[in-house]
Amino acid sequence: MISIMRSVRRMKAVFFARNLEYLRDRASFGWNLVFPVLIVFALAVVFSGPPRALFTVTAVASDSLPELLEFPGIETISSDRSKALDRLSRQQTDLVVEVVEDSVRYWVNGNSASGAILELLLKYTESRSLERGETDGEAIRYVDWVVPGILGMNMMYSALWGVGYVVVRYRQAGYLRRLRATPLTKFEFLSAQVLSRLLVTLTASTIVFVGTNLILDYKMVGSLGLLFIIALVGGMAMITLGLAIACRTESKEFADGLLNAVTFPMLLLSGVWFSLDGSPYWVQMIAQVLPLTHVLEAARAVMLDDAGVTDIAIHLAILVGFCTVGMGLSIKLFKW
Amino acid sequence: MISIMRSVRRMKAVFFARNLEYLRDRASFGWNLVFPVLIVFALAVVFSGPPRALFTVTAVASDSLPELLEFPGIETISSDRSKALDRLSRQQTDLVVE
Repeated sequence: MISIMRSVRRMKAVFFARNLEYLRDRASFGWNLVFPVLIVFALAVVFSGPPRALFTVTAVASDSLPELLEFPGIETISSDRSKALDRLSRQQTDLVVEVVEDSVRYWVNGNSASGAILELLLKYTESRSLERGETDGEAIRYVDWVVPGILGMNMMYSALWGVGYVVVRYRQAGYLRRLRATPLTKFEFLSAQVLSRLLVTLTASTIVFVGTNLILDYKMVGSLGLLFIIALVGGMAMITLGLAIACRTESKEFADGLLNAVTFPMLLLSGVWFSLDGSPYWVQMIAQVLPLTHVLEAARAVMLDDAGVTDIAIHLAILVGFCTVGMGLSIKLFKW
Repeated sequence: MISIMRSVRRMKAVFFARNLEYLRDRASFGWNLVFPVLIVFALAVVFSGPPRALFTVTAVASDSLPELLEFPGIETISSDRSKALDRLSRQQTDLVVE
Protein backbone atom coordinates (compact mmCIF):
# COMPACT_ATOMS: atom_id res chain seq x y z
CA MET A 1 0.00 0.00 0.00
CA ILE A 2 2.69 2.45 1.01
CA SER A 3 4.78 1.50 -2.01
CA ILE A 4 1.84 2.30 -4.33
CA MET A 5 1.39 5.70 -2.68
CA ARG A 6 5.07 6.43 -3.12
CA SER A 7 4.88 5.38 -6.74
CA VAL A 8 1.94 7.74 -7.31
CA ARG A 9 3.83 10.57 -5.62
CA ARG A 10 6.84 10.06 -7.90
CA MET A 11 4.60 10.01 -10.95
CA LYS A 12 2.93 13.23 -9.78
CA ALA A 13 6.29 14.97 -9.40
CA VAL A 14 7.33 14.10 -12.96
CA PHE A 15 3.84 14.98 -14.23
CA PHE A 16 3.94 18.50 -12.72
CA ALA A 17 7.52 19.08 -13.80
CA ARG A 18 6.65 18.22 -17.38
CA ASN A 19 3.53 20.44 -17.34
CA LEU A 20 5.53 23.41 -16.10
CA GLU A 21 8.28 22.81 -18.62
CA TYR A 22 5.72 22.84 -21.42
CA LEU A 23 3.94 25.97 -20.19
CA ARG A 24 7.22 27.85 -19.84
CA ASP A 25 8.27 27.02 -23.41
CA ARG A 26 6.20 29.86 -24.85
CA ALA A 27 7.07 29.18 -28.48
CA SER A 28 5.83 25.62 -28.69
CA PHE A 29 2.91 26.37 -26.35
CA GLY A 30 1.77 29.26 -28.55
CA TRP A 31 2.29 27.34 -31.77
CA ASN A 32 0.20 24.44 -30.48
CA LEU A 33 -2.70 26.82 -29.88
CA VAL A 34 -2.25 29.05 -32.91
CA PHE A 35 -1.62 26.35 -35.49
CA PRO A 36 -5.00 24.54 -35.38
CA VAL A 37 -6.87 27.86 -35.23
CA LEU A 38 -5.02 29.04 -38.34
CA ILE A 39 -5.83 25.83 -40.20
CA VAL A 40 -9.52 26.05 -39.35
CA PHE A 41 -9.71 29.67 -40.52
CA ALA A 42 -7.70 29.06 -43.65
CA LEU A 43 -9.92 26.13 -44.66
CA ALA A 44 -13.09 28.09 -43.83
CA VAL A 45 -11.97 30.92 -46.09
CA VAL A 46 -10.81 28.69 -48.92
CA PHE A 47 -14.05 26.72 -48.94
CA SER A 48 -16.35 29.69 -48.39
CA GLY A 49 -18.37 31.16 -51.21
CA PRO A 50 -21.33 29.66 -53.02
CA PRO A 51 -21.63 25.87 -53.25
CA ARG A 52 -19.97 24.31 -56.26
CA ALA A 53 -22.10 23.79 -59.33
CA LEU A 54 -23.31 20.26 -60.03
CA PHE A 55 -22.59 20.44 -63.74
CA THR A 56 -20.39 22.58 -65.97
CA VAL A 57 -21.57 23.39 -69.46
CA THR A 58 -19.27 25.05 -71.97
CA ALA A 59 -21.00 27.32 -74.47
CA VAL A 60 -19.14 27.94 -77.70
CA ALA A 61 -19.51 31.71 -78.07
CA SER A 62 -23.01 32.37 -79.40
CA ASP A 63 -26.29 34.06 -78.51
CA SER A 64 -29.69 32.58 -77.69
CA LEU A 65 -28.24 29.86 -75.49
CA PRO A 66 -30.42 26.89 -74.52
CA GLU A 67 -32.84 27.38 -71.65
CA LEU A 68 -31.08 24.48 -69.87
CA LEU A 69 -28.23 26.78 -68.85
CA GLU A 70 -30.51 28.74 -66.53
CA PHE A 71 -31.19 25.63 -64.48
CA PRO A 72 -30.01 25.76 -60.83
CA GLY A 73 -26.71 23.97 -60.21
CA ILE A 74 -25.47 24.45 -63.75
CA GLU A 75 -22.46 26.66 -64.30
CA THR A 76 -21.82 28.00 -67.79
CA ILE A 77 -18.43 28.97 -69.15
CA SER A 78 -17.67 30.12 -72.67
CA SER A 79 -14.75 29.07 -74.80
CA ASP A 80 -13.88 28.34 -78.41
CA ARG A 81 -14.87 24.98 -79.82
CA SER A 82 -11.55 23.14 -79.89
CA LYS A 83 -10.66 24.10 -76.32
CA ALA A 84 -14.17 23.17 -75.20
CA LEU A 85 -13.90 19.72 -76.78
CA ASP A 86 -10.47 19.22 -75.18
CA ARG A 87 -11.99 20.00 -71.81
CA LEU A 88 -14.87 17.64 -72.56
CA SER A 89 -12.57 14.73 -73.34
CA ARG A 90 -10.80 15.28 -69.99
CA GLN A 91 -14.23 15.53 -68.30
CA GLN A 92 -13.44 19.01 -67.03
CA THR A 93 -16.75 20.08 -68.52
CA ASP A 94 -19.86 17.91 -68.83
CA LEU A 95 -21.51 19.25 -71.98
CA VAL A 96 -20.54 21.51 -74.87
CA VAL A 97 -23.29 23.43 -76.70
CA GLU A 98 -23.15 25.58 -79.81
CA VAL A 99 -26.14 27.35 -81.34
CA VAL A 100 -26.04 27.38 -85.14
CA GLU A 101 -28.92 29.36 -86.68
CA ASP A 102 -32.04 27.45 -85.63
CA SER A 103 -30.47 24.29 -84.31
CA VAL A 104 -28.37 23.38 -81.30
CA ARG A 105 -25.25 21.26 -81.66
CA TYR A 106 -24.04 19.53 -78.53
CA TRP A 107 -21.26 17.17 -77.53
CA VAL A 108 -21.10 14.79 -74.59
CA ASN A 109 -18.39 12.47 -73.29
CA GLY A 110 -19.55 8.88 -73.67
CA ASN A 111 -17.83 7.88 -70.40
CA SER A 112 -19.49 10.50 -68.26
CA ALA A 113 -22.66 9.98 -66.22
CA SER A 114 -23.07 13.75 -65.86
CA GLY A 115 -23.06 14.04 -69.63
CA ALA A 116 -25.82 11.46 -69.95
CA ILE A 117 -27.99 13.30 -67.42
CA LEU A 118 -27.42 16.69 -69.05
CA GLU A 119 -28.22 15.25 -72.47
CA LEU A 120 -31.56 14.04 -71.16
CA LEU A 121 -32.30 17.45 -69.62
CA LEU A 122 -31.34 19.23 -72.83
CA LYS A 123 -33.65 17.04 -74.90
CA TYR A 124 -36.43 17.72 -72.42
CA THR A 125 -36.04 21.51 -72.31
CA GLU A 126 -34.90 22.42 -75.82
CA SER A 127 -37.50 23.12 -78.53
CA ARG A 128 -35.04 23.66 -81.40
CA SER A 129 -33.62 20.74 -83.33
CA LEU A 130 -30.63 19.01 -81.78
CA GLU A 131 -27.47 17.63 -83.36
CA ARG A 132 -25.38 15.24 -81.29
CA GLY A 133 -21.61 14.79 -81.13
CA GLU A 134 -19.57 12.54 -78.85
CA THR A 135 -16.03 12.39 -77.52
CA ASP A 136 -14.44 9.96 -75.14
CA GLY A 137 -11.61 10.13 -72.65
CA GLU A 138 -11.25 9.41 -68.98
CA ALA A 139 -11.53 11.94 -66.18
CA ILE A 140 -8.34 13.04 -64.47
CA ARG A 141 -8.01 11.00 -61.31
CA TYR A 142 -7.22 12.71 -58.02
CA VAL A 143 -3.89 10.85 -57.97
CA ASP A 144 -2.93 12.37 -61.33
CA TRP A 145 -3.73 15.77 -59.93
CA VAL A 146 -2.19 15.43 -56.47
CA VAL A 147 1.16 13.85 -57.38
CA PRO A 148 2.72 17.14 -58.60
CA GLY A 149 1.41 18.73 -55.40
CA ILE A 150 3.12 16.19 -53.16
CA LEU A 151 6.39 16.32 -55.08
CA GLY A 152 6.28 20.11 -54.87
CA MET A 153 5.52 20.07 -51.16
CA ASN A 154 8.42 17.73 -50.50
CA MET A 155 10.68 19.96 -52.56
CA MET A 156 9.53 22.98 -50.58
CA TYR A 157 10.33 21.40 -47.20
CA SER A 158 13.63 20.00 -48.41
CA ALA A 159 14.64 23.36 -49.93
CA LEU A 160 13.58 25.64 -47.09
CA TRP A 161 14.71 23.55 -44.12
CA GLY A 162 17.73 22.06 -45.83
CA VAL A 163 19.21 25.51 -46.30
CA GLY A 164 17.45 27.85 -43.89
CA TYR A 165 17.73 25.69 -40.80
CA VAL A 166 21.19 24.34 -41.59
CA VAL A 167 22.82 27.75 -42.09
CA VAL A 168 21.39 28.98 -38.78
CA ARG A 169 22.71 25.83 -37.11
CA TYR A 170 26.16 26.51 -38.60
CA ARG A 171 26.01 30.03 -37.21
CA GLN A 172 24.95 28.91 -33.74
CA ALA A 173 27.67 26.28 -33.63
CA GLY A 174 30.32 28.86 -34.51
CA TYR A 175 31.15 27.07 -37.79
CA LEU A 176 30.51 30.20 -39.89
CA ARG A 177 32.90 32.30 -37.79
CA ARG A 178 35.66 29.81 -38.51
CA LEU A 179 34.89 29.86 -42.24
CA ARG A 180 35.14 33.62 -42.15
CA ALA A 181 38.83 33.30 -41.33
CA THR A 182 39.37 31.42 -44.62
CA PRO A 183 39.57 32.96 -48.13
CA LEU A 184 36.00 31.72 -48.78
CA THR A 185 33.71 34.58 -49.87
CA LYS A 186 30.02 34.97 -48.99
CA PHE A 187 29.07 34.39 -52.60
CA GLU A 188 31.09 31.19 -52.81
CA PHE A 189 29.68 29.84 -49.58
CA LEU A 190 26.07 30.66 -50.46
CA SER A 191 26.35 29.35 -54.02
CA ALA A 192 27.78 26.07 -52.80
CA GLN A 193 24.91 25.72 -50.32
CA VAL A 194 22.35 26.38 -53.07
CA LEU A 195 23.97 23.95 -55.51
CA SER A 196 24.30 21.18 -52.95
CA ARG A 197 20.68 21.45 -51.88
CA LEU A 198 19.53 21.70 -55.49
CA LEU A 199 21.34 18.44 -56.28
CA VAL A 200 19.76 16.73 -53.27
CA THR A 201 16.25 18.04 -53.95
CA LEU A 202 16.26 17.20 -57.65
CA THR A 203 17.69 13.73 -57.07
CA ALA A 204 15.12 12.93 -54.40
CA SER A 205 12.25 14.28 -56.52
CA THR A 206 13.40 12.31 -59.55
CA ILE A 207 13.61 9.07 -57.59
CA VAL A 208 10.16 9.61 -56.09
CA PHE A 209 8.67 10.62 -59.45
CA VAL A 210 10.02 7.61 -61.31
CA GLY A 211 9.34 5.17 -58.48
CA THR A 212 5.73 6.11 -57.90
CA ASN A 213 5.02 6.38 -61.62
CA LEU A 214 6.25 2.83 -62.21
CA ILE A 215 3.62 1.53 -59.82
CA LEU A 216 0.73 3.99 -60.08
CA ASP A 217 1.16 4.99 -63.73
CA TYR A 218 -0.23 8.48 -63.20
CA LYS A 219 -0.76 10.87 -66.05
CA MET A 220 2.28 12.52 -67.62
CA VAL A 221 1.54 13.69 -71.15
CA GLY A 222 3.98 16.60 -71.48
CA SER A 223 7.71 16.99 -71.92
CA LEU A 224 9.95 15.48 -69.23
CA GLY A 225 12.66 18.02 -70.02
CA LEU A 226 10.29 20.91 -69.40
CA LEU A 227 9.16 19.34 -66.12
CA PHE A 228 12.80 19.09 -65.07
CA ILE A 229 13.35 22.77 -65.86
CA ILE A 230 10.33 23.67 -63.71
CA ALA A 231 11.74 21.60 -60.84
CA LEU A 232 15.17 23.21 -61.30
CA VAL A 233 13.96 26.81 -61.32
CA GLY A 234 11.28 26.18 -58.69
CA GLY A 235 13.69 24.36 -56.39
CA MET A 236 16.17 27.18 -56.72
CA ALA A 237 13.49 29.80 -55.99
CA MET A 238 12.58 28.07 -52.72
CA ILE A 239 16.19 27.40 -51.74
CA THR A 240 17.10 31.08 -52.15
CA LEU A 241 14.03 31.95 -50.08
CA GLY A 242 15.35 29.69 -47.33
CA LEU A 243 18.73 31.35 -47.64
CA ALA A 244 17.21 34.81 -47.31
CA ILE A 245 15.47 33.68 -44.11
CA ALA A 246 18.72 32.32 -42.70
CA CYS A 247 21.05 35.11 -43.76
CA ARG A 248 20.97 36.97 -40.42
CA THR A 249 18.95 34.81 -38.06
CA GLU A 250 20.82 33.87 -34.89
CA SER A 251 18.53 31.39 -33.14
CA LYS A 252 17.28 28.03 -34.35
CA GLU A 253 13.91 28.56 -32.65
CA PHE A 254 13.37 31.84 -34.48
CA ALA A 255 14.43 30.30 -37.80
CA ASP A 256 11.98 27.48 -37.12
CA GLY A 257 9.15 29.96 -36.61
CA LEU A 258 10.04 31.92 -39.74
CA LEU A 259 10.26 28.78 -41.84
CA ASN A 260 6.88 27.62 -40.54
CA ALA A 261 5.40 31.02 -41.32
CA VAL A 262 6.58 30.69 -44.93
CA THR A 263 5.84 27.00 -45.55
CA PHE A 264 2.43 27.01 -43.90
CA PRO A 265 0.68 29.39 -46.35
CA MET A 266 2.21 27.49 -49.26
CA LEU A 267 1.01 24.17 -47.85
CA LEU A 268 -2.59 25.45 -47.74
CA LEU A 269 -2.87 28.06 -50.49
CA SER A 270 -0.61 26.88 -53.28
CA GLY A 271 -2.95 24.11 -54.37
CA VAL A 272 -1.00 21.15 -52.99
CA TRP A 273 -4.07 19.18 -51.90
CA PHE A 274 -7.05 20.82 -53.55
CA SER A 275 -7.76 23.25 -56.35
CA LEU A 276 -8.26 26.88 -55.36
CA ASP A 277 -10.51 27.57 -58.37
CA GLY A 278 -13.57 28.04 -56.19
CA SER A 279 -11.94 30.16 -53.48
CA PRO A 280 -12.34 33.94 -53.09
CA TYR A 281 -10.39 36.25 -55.37
CA TRP A 282 -8.14 37.66 -52.64
CA VAL A 283 -7.06 34.16 -51.60
CA GLN A 284 -6.02 33.48 -55.18
CA MET A 285 -4.12 36.76 -55.19
CA ILE A 286 -2.19 35.75 -52.06
CA ALA A 287 -1.44 32.43 -53.72
CA GLN A 288 0.17 34.24 -56.64
CA VAL A 289 2.98 35.63 -54.46
CA LEU A 290 3.97 32.14 -53.27
CA PRO A 291 6.63 30.40 -55.36
CA LEU A 292 5.10 26.95 -54.88
CA THR A 293 1.88 28.10 -56.61
CA HIS A 294 3.82 28.80 -59.79
CA VAL A 295 5.75 25.55 -59.58
CA LEU A 296 2.52 23.55 -59.27
CA GLU A 297 0.55 25.45 -61.92
CA ALA A 298 3.38 24.97 -64.40
CA ALA A 299 3.97 21.32 -63.48
CA ARG A 300 0.26 20.44 -63.75
CA ALA A 301 -0.01 22.26 -67.09
CA VAL A 302 2.85 20.13 -68.43
CA MET A 303 1.84 16.82 -66.84
CA LEU A 304 -1.92 16.96 -67.44
CA ASP A 305 -2.41 19.29 -70.43
CA ASP A 306 0.83 18.88 -72.41
CA ALA A 307 1.65 22.59 -72.11
CA GLY A 308 4.66 23.94 -74.02
CA VAL A 309 7.32 26.45 -73.01
CA THR A 310 5.26 29.44 -74.12
CA ASP A 311 2.25 28.33 -72.05
CA ILE A 312 4.24 28.28 -68.83
CA ALA A 313 6.74 31.04 -69.64
CA ILE A 314 5.06 33.43 -67.23
CA HIS A 315 5.45 31.00 -64.33
CA LEU A 316 9.09 30.34 -65.18
CA ALA A 317 9.78 34.09 -65.42
CA ILE A 318 8.22 34.71 -62.00
CA LEU A 319 10.27 31.87 -60.49
CA VAL A 320 13.47 33.25 -62.00
CA GLY A 321 12.48 36.58 -60.43
CA PHE A 322 12.15 34.87 -57.02
CA CYS A 323 15.64 33.34 -57.47
CA THR A 324 17.21 36.67 -58.37
CA VAL A 325 15.62 38.57 -55.50
CA GLY A 326 16.30 35.77 -52.99
CA MET A 327 19.95 35.33 -53.96
CA GLY A 328 20.53 39.09 -54.17
CA LEU A 329 19.04 39.70 -50.73
CA SER A 330 20.97 36.79 -49.22
CA ILE A 331 24.35 38.00 -50.50
CA LYS A 332 23.64 41.58 -49.49
CA LEU A 333 22.37 40.80 -45.99
CA PHE A 334 24.39 37.70 -45.11
CA LYS A 335 26.38 37.80 -41.89
CA TRP A 336 28.88 35.09 -41.01
CA MET B 1 41.97 33.60 -64.31
CA ILE B 2 43.79 31.92 -61.49
CA SER B 3 41.58 33.69 -58.97
CA ILE B 4 38.42 32.34 -60.66
CA MET B 5 39.82 28.79 -60.61
CA ARG B 6 40.60 29.18 -56.94
CA SER B 7 37.11 30.49 -56.29
CA VAL B 8 35.58 27.50 -58.06
CA ARG B 9 37.80 25.16 -56.05
CA ARG B 10 36.65 26.73 -52.79
CA MET B 11 33.00 26.42 -53.83
CA LYS B 12 33.58 22.78 -54.75
CA ALA B 13 35.02 22.09 -51.31
CA VAL B 14 31.98 23.55 -49.51
CA PHE B 15 29.64 21.82 -51.98
CA PHE B 16 31.16 18.37 -51.32
CA ALA B 17 31.30 18.95 -47.59
CA ARG B 18 27.59 19.78 -47.50
CA ASN B 19 26.69 16.79 -49.73
CA LEU B 20 28.58 14.42 -47.47
CA GLU B 21 27.04 15.92 -44.36
CA TYR B 22 23.58 15.29 -45.81
CA LEU B 23 24.31 11.76 -47.01
CA ARG B 24 25.72 10.78 -43.63
CA ASP B 25 22.60 11.97 -41.83
CA ARG B 26 20.75 8.75 -42.65
CA ALA B 27 17.54 9.69 -40.87
CA SER B 28 16.73 12.86 -42.79
CA PHE B 29 18.02 11.35 -46.04
CA GLY B 30 15.72 8.36 -45.72
CA TRP B 31 12.78 10.45 -44.61
CA ASN B 32 13.12 12.75 -47.63
CA LEU B 33 12.60 9.76 -49.90
CA VAL B 34 10.18 7.66 -47.91
CA PHE B 35 7.75 10.37 -46.82
CA PRO B 36 6.47 11.51 -50.26
CA VAL B 37 6.22 7.92 -51.50
CA LEU B 38 4.10 7.01 -48.47
CA ILE B 39 1.76 9.97 -49.00
CA VAL B 40 1.33 9.24 -52.70
CA PHE B 41 0.45 5.60 -52.03
CA ALA B 42 -1.85 6.44 -49.15
CA LEU B 43 -3.79 8.90 -51.31
CA ALA B 44 -3.88 6.51 -54.24
CA VAL B 45 -5.43 3.85 -52.04
CA VAL B 46 -7.91 6.20 -50.35
CA PHE B 47 -9.16 7.73 -53.61
CA SER B 48 -9.22 4.56 -55.69
CA GLY B 49 -12.46 2.73 -56.40
CA PRO B 50 -15.38 3.77 -58.62
CA PRO B 51 -16.26 7.47 -58.91
CA ARG B 52 -18.83 8.76 -56.45
CA ALA B 53 -22.44 8.81 -57.57
CA LEU B 54 -23.80 12.17 -58.70
CA PHE B 55 -27.17 11.81 -57.03
CA THR B 56 -28.62 9.67 -54.27
CA VAL B 57 -32.22 8.55 -54.54
CA THR B 58 -33.95 6.89 -51.61
CA ALA B 59 -36.59 4.33 -52.56
CA VAL B 60 -39.20 3.61 -49.92
CA ALA B 61 -39.30 -0.19 -50.02
CA SER B 62 -41.33 -1.24 -53.04
CA ASP B 63 -41.05 -3.12 -56.34
CA SER B 64 -41.26 -1.81 -59.89
CA LEU B 65 -39.03 1.19 -59.18
CA PRO B 66 -38.90 4.09 -61.67
CA GLU B 67 -36.68 3.67 -64.69
CA LEU B 68 -34.77 6.79 -63.57
CA LEU B 69 -32.94 4.76 -60.93
CA GLU B 70 -31.12 2.75 -63.58
CA PHE B 71 -29.51 5.88 -64.96
CA PRO B 72 -25.73 6.13 -64.71
CA GLY B 73 -24.48 8.25 -61.81
CA ILE B 74 -27.55 7.60 -59.66
CA GLU B 75 -27.14 5.60 -56.48
CA THR B 76 -30.25 4.08 -54.94
CA ILE B 77 -30.69 3.24 -51.29
CA SER B 78 -33.83 1.91 -49.64
CA SER B 79 -35.27 3.01 -46.36
CA ASP B 80 -38.64 3.53 -44.67
CA ARG B 81 -40.56 6.69 -45.45
CA SER B 82 -39.98 8.75 -42.30
CA LYS B 83 -36.24 8.12 -42.29
CA ALA B 84 -36.09 8.88 -45.99
CA LEU B 85 -37.87 12.21 -45.51
CA ASP B 86 -35.55 13.06 -42.61
CA ARG B 87 -32.58 12.42 -44.86
CA LEU B 88 -34.19 14.52 -47.58
CA SER B 89 -34.65 17.53 -45.30
CA ARG B 90 -30.95 17.37 -44.40
CA GLN B 91 -30.07 17.06 -48.12
CA GLN B 92 -28.37 13.73 -47.48
CA THR B 93 -30.48 12.31 -50.29
CA ASP B 94 -31.67 14.19 -53.37
CA LEU B 95 -35.02 12.52 -54.08
CA VAL B 96 -37.40 10.12 -52.35
CA VAL B 97 -39.65 7.81 -54.40
CA GLU B 98 -42.31 5.35 -53.31
